[in-house]
Amino acid sequence: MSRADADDDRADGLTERYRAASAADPARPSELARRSIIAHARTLAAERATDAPVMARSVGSVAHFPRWPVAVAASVIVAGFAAILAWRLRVPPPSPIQAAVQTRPAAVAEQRTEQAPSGGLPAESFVAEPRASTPVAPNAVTTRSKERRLARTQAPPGAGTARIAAAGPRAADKAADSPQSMESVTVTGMRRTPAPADTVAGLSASAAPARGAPLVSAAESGDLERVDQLLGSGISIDQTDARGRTALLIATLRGDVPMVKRLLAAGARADVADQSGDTALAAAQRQGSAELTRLLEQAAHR
Amino acid sequence: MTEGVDTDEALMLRFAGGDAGAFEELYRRHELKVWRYLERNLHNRAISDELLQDVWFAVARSARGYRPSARFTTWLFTLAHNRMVDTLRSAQRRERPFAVVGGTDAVSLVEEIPADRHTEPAERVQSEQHASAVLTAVERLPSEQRRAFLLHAEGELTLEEIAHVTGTNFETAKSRLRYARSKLRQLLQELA
Repeated sequence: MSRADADDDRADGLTERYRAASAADPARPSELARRSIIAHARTLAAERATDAPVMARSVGSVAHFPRWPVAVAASVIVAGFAAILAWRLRVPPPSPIQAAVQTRPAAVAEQRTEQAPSGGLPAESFVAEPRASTPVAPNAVTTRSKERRLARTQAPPGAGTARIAAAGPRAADKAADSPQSMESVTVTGMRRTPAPADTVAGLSASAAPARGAPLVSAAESGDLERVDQLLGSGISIDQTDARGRTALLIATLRGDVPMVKRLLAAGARADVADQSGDTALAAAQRQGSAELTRLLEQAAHR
Repeated sequence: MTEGVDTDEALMLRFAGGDAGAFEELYRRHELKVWRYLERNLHNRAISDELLQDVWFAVARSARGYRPSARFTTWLFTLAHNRMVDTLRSAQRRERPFAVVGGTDAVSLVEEIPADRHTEPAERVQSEQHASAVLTAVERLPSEQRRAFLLHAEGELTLEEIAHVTGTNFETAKSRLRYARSKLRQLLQELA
């Protein structure tokens, strides 16, 4: 406001007189409008409270992050791959010693290291996959998909990873080391992840040990629907977690009667002990749950 | 500003981050100002309530993209003013479903002024009479002058902000406010 206007206003105090009159006016907006506005704002605030971290990340990474370093890095990586590819295409066929190394999984790295200076190839090249034209031994595995394909054809019946997982990680390693399992040895001499011998519930068996025991997890969360789904897929009913606990034991410990009934109906064994020797039946007795004890005793005697 | 009291702009940013309490504080601060601006221009409480909701819903929706480039109240009154003008225009198209007074919209000033403000009992204290007279005088102002005066007196906006809200330039806003004061003095003398 200009000085003249301000002086004018001060002279008669119109603004202040209006404000005083307005403050004395009892008229107010309706309570319904007020509630509606506040409720709407609370709803939006709740949505934003959950979205905020995501927004912050996306804004930080997309809107404000300068793009040129990404473009430069991508260009360097692409150029690097192109150079490696070009270099590999001009590499002569492997020497007899290299071929022998590829047919003998054991002590591969050492031989390749020794071979490197005479072959004129840098040591880093040995960690790469063999070229398509390179002779590969029948039992050598070059890609993960090939591992899975071979595993499915060579695994003995019943050698499902559910059972391997049930026996614990050590057993899984042991199984992986056994001749029957599809052990994969690369030219680097490093052992890859044990190849899957089966699939469980639509998941590759190689992923199953990493994901734990889905049936036990489902029982732990009381998710009866998920348990039904897993049982329907043919999963092992006595699958255990890392501590050797079955889904039945977990359900008993949780006092989840419907879950226990469902698992018993599916053939779960009540006498499977975990690593500490605890069984579902013992847990039910210890908890003093008459119904669970009765159910588990009936199952134990059938 | 007292230390520890958030500005309107800070409250908006907090609300944009999911703090509902910040919005409630903001609403508490400005609810009456906005509603009075609407109601004293429209003279219809139901429609003023409706527009009040529209305005604050818009504030809530827009919080995420809010950037404190100007005072919050300028933006708030711009929302309120635009909705009010839209409503007046649509009311004119619908053959005036509710009363509009002042300026070119003026019909019968005496008829449109709320009855209770005209029928103040003689025994009321003088201050109440005076308050009523001031409000009545404001209602009798031509619409553009009334808007300018209410934006200044209720919204505490500067002339630049009044010009921004009403879509005019500084000089026009200044003239309207000056004429509004002049007219108010005249009306108050008449009502005295």
